[in-house]
Amino acid sequence: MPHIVFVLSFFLFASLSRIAGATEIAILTSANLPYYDQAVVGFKAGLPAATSTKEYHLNGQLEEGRHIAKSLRAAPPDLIFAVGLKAAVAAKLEIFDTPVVFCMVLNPEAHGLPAQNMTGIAVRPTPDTQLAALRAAIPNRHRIGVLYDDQHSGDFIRQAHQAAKQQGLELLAVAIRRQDEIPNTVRALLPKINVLWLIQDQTVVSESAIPFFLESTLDARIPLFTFSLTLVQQGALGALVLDPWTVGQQAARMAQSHLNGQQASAGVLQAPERPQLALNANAAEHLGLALSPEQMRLAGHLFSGPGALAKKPGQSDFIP
Amino acid sequence: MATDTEMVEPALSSSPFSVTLRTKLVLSMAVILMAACLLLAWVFIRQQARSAAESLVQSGTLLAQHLAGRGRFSIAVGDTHRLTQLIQETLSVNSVAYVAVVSSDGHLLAGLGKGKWQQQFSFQPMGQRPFAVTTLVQPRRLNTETGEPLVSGIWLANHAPVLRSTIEFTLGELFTLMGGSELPLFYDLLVQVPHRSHTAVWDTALQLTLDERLDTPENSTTLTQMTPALVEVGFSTSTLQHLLRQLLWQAVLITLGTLIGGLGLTILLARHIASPLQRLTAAANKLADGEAVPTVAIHTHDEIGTLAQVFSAMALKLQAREHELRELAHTLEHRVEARTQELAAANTKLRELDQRKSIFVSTASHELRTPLTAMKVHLANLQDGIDGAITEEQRRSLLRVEANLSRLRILIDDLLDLSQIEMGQATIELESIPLETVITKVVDDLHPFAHERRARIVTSLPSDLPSVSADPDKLRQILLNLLHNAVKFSPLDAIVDLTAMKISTDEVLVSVRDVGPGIAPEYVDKIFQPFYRAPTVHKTTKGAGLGLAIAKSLIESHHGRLWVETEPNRGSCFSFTLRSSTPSRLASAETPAPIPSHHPIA
Repeated sequence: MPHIVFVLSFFLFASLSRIAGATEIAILTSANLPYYDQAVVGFKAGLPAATSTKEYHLNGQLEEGRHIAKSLRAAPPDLIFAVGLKAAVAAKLEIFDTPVVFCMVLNPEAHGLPAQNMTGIAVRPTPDTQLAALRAAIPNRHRIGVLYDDQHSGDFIRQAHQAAKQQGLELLAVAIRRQDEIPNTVRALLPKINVLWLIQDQTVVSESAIPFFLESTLDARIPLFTFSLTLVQQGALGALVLDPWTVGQQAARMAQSHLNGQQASAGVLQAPERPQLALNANAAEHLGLALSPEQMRLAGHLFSGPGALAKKPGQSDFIP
Repeated sequence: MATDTEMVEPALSSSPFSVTLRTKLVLSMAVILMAACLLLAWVFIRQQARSAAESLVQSGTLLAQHLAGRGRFSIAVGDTHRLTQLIQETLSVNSVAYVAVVSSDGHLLAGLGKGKWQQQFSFQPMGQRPFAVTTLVQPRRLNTETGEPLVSGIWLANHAPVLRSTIEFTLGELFTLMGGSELPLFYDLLVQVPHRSHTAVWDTALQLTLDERLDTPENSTTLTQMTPALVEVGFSTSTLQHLLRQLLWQAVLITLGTLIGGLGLTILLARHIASPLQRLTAAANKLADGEAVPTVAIHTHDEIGTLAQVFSAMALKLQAREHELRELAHTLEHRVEARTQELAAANTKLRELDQRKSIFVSTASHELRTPLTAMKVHLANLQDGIDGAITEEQRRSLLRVEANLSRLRILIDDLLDLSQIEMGQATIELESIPLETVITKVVDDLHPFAHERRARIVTSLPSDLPSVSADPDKLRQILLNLLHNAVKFSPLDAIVDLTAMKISTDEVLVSVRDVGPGIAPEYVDKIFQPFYRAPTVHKTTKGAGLGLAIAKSLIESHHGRLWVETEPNRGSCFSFTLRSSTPSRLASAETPAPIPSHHPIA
C-alpha cells in the first residue's frame, strides 16, 4: 500500500512538472549525513530558479535506493543527482537513460562508476593537485612516502608517480594489504622520507591507525600531509580538503551542462574543484618548518594556538 | 576558732580521691588536648592519605589512559614490539611497578615489571597466558561505559599478588609505616583501550574514508573494529608511603608540641588560678587561727580578684570585731573580778556579822538565862508564899508572869540552840533509837498542849519500823517542833497525823500532817528560814519562827531531808527522812559529829 501511494505521488509530481514545463531533478541521498546535506544545499543553490527538485533518501539502504530508482525509471526526471555511494550505485543499477550526476563517492572506479549515462565528481583531488599543494606547503621536502592498498588506490598511485616525477619529487609508495602491516611499514619508511603523504585509502586509514600516524610522524619529526581537517587539527602539517557545498555547486554546474545538451562529460569523473589548503602552524613549529606568510594567507584553514598541536617541544607526553 | 579550718583540711586530704584544682585542670586539659589532637591528626592523616592516594590514582589513570590511547593501534594489530616500547616508556616513570596489556578475556598481550614484579612477566609466550593481577581484580567489574579505571590495592606477599579490599592504609599499616618499614602495597589501575573516534562530523573526506561501505548502513559511524583490550598499570606506593610517614611523624610532633604547649599553658593558667586561692586559703587559716591577716595581694581583674578584695574586707571587719570583743571581754573580766572581790568582801563581812550575831545571840541567851533563872526562882518563892502570902489576884498575875517566863525561856533556849547550830558548836551523838519510843514520848510531852487545843495526835507506826540512827535529844526536839507547829496551826478539835514508815533498806520516812490553813506556794521556800512567819499566820498565834529552822538544821545534821507538802486551806504535811541504824553507821557515829553551821541568813 505505501508503495502504491509513493508511485502515485511520484507520477503526480512528474505530471505536474511536465505540465508546468519546468526542469525536474531528482536528488537521491544515501543517508542523512551532514556533509551529504551540505552538498545537496550547494547543489540546489547552483541550479536555476525554475528548476524543480525532489529529494529521496535511501536511509543507508541500497535496496531502498534501487526501489526509488525503479520508480524514477518509470517516470524519469530530467536529471538525477546522486549523493553518496549507495545512491550512485542504485542509480547505476536501475537508471540507464536518464543522466545521473553523482558525488561523495570515495572509490567510484571500484564500483564501476561512472556508467555511460553518469558523470561524477571525485572525492579525492588529483595526485598532481595534492602533490602541488604539498610542495607548496613544504617546499624543501622532496622524499615523499605514501602507503596504499593497490586494490583501492593502485591507479591513483600510478598517477601520483607521474605527477611526482613531473614536479621533481621522489615518491616512495609502499603497498599494504592489511592494517597490521602499517606499524612495521611506517617504521621502515619513516627514516627514508621527509614527508609522509596520507591518502584516502580505506586500508591505510582507519580509526585506530590515525593516532599511530600522528604519533609516529611527530616523534620522527616528519611532516604528515593528509586529506583531513581533523588530522591537521590533531597534528598533521597540512591537508588538501574539500568543501561539500562547493562540490554541490560543481555538481549543479555539471547538471546544467547535461540539461543544456552538452554530453561531452558523460562517463567522465571530474576532479573536485577548489580544494582548500589546511595548515597547522603549531605542527610546523614543532617540525621546525617555517610557513611563509603567503602560504598562511592562502590557507583555507589555519590551525594555531592552544590545542592545535598534540605534541609540545620538550614534553614527553602525547596530548591528543 | 581553728577547729573549722582543721576540720575542712583533713576532710580534703583524707579522701583518697581528692585532687587539687590544679591537677584537675591539667588532667582535664591534657585529656581534651590529647583527644582533640589525636582526632585532628587522624582526620588530617586520613584526608592526606586519601588525597595522596587519589592523586596517585589520578595521575596513574592519566598515564594508563595515555598508554591505552597510544597503544591502541598496536594492540589492534598485535604490534608487540611497539607495545613493549610504549610499556618501557611507561615503566620509566618511577612510581610505575608494572605495566600489562591484556585482552578482555584476561590473556596477557604484553607486559613488563620492575623489581619483584619482573617474575610475573619473566615468561611471556604470545597468546594464552593470564596475568595474575588481572585475574584477581576481575575485569568484569570494569565499567566500560564511563571509562573510569578500576582501582585495586595489591599486596605483594612472597612474590604472589594478593587483592586487598581497599586501597586505603589501615591503622596498623600506618603504625608500621611510622616504624620505618615499607609495605609491599601497590595500586592496580585497569583501564580499557578507548574506542574514541578521531573523526569530526564535518570532516567529509575522513568520514567518507572511514565509513563508506556498500554493505553497511552509512548513517551510523562505523569504526574499524578493534580488539577489546585492557591496560593495567601497577603503581608503587613507596613515594606515598614516604609522604605518609613524614605526615605521621609531623602529626605526632605537632600533637606532642600542642600537648606540651597546651599543658604548659594549662599549668600556668592553673597556677594563675590556684596560687591566689592558696594564698586566700592560707590567709583564711590564719584568720581562723586568730592571727593578724595581711591584705591579700591579688590584683587580677577577674572573679578571683573580686574574691580576694571581698575576703580582705571581710578579714579587716572580722579583725576589728574581734578586737572589740577582746576589749569588751577584758573589760568584763575586770568588772567581774572587781564585783567578785566586792562580793567576797561583802560575804566575809556578812560572815563576820553573822558570826558576831550568833555570838551575840549566844551570849545574850546565856546572859538572859541567868536572870531568868533567878526570876523563876523568885517567882516560885512568891507563888509558894515563902516571901509572904499573896492574894489570888497576885497569884493569877504570877501565873501569867510564869507563863511569859516560860515562853521567854523557850525562846531563849531556841535562840541558844540555833546560835549553837549556826556557830557549829552543836554536836550530834548518833545512836540507835527505836523511833516509836521517841514518838510516844514526844506525844506524851505534848499531851497538855494538845489537850489545850483539843487536838488529837494520831500516830501510825508499822510493826517492823526499824530503829533509826539519831541523837535522841535532837530527834525529840525535831518531832516536838513539828508536832507543836501542827497542833498550834490546826483548828480546835483537829487531828494531827503522825506516821512513820520504812521507805528503803536504810531510810525511814516520818510525816506530820495537819489540817491547818496551809502555806501559800510563794512562802513555802521561806518558812524554813529563822524568824520567818508567813503573812497568813494569824497574829494571835504565838511563836518566834525558829522551830522549823531548828528542825531543818537538825534533820540535815542527821543527813536527812525535810520538806513540806501544803495546800492552802487544806493543811500541810511536813516529812523528813532519817537513816535507819546499821552497825557500820553506828560505829562511825560513836564519835560525836558537829552539826554543820548554817549559812548566814541573808
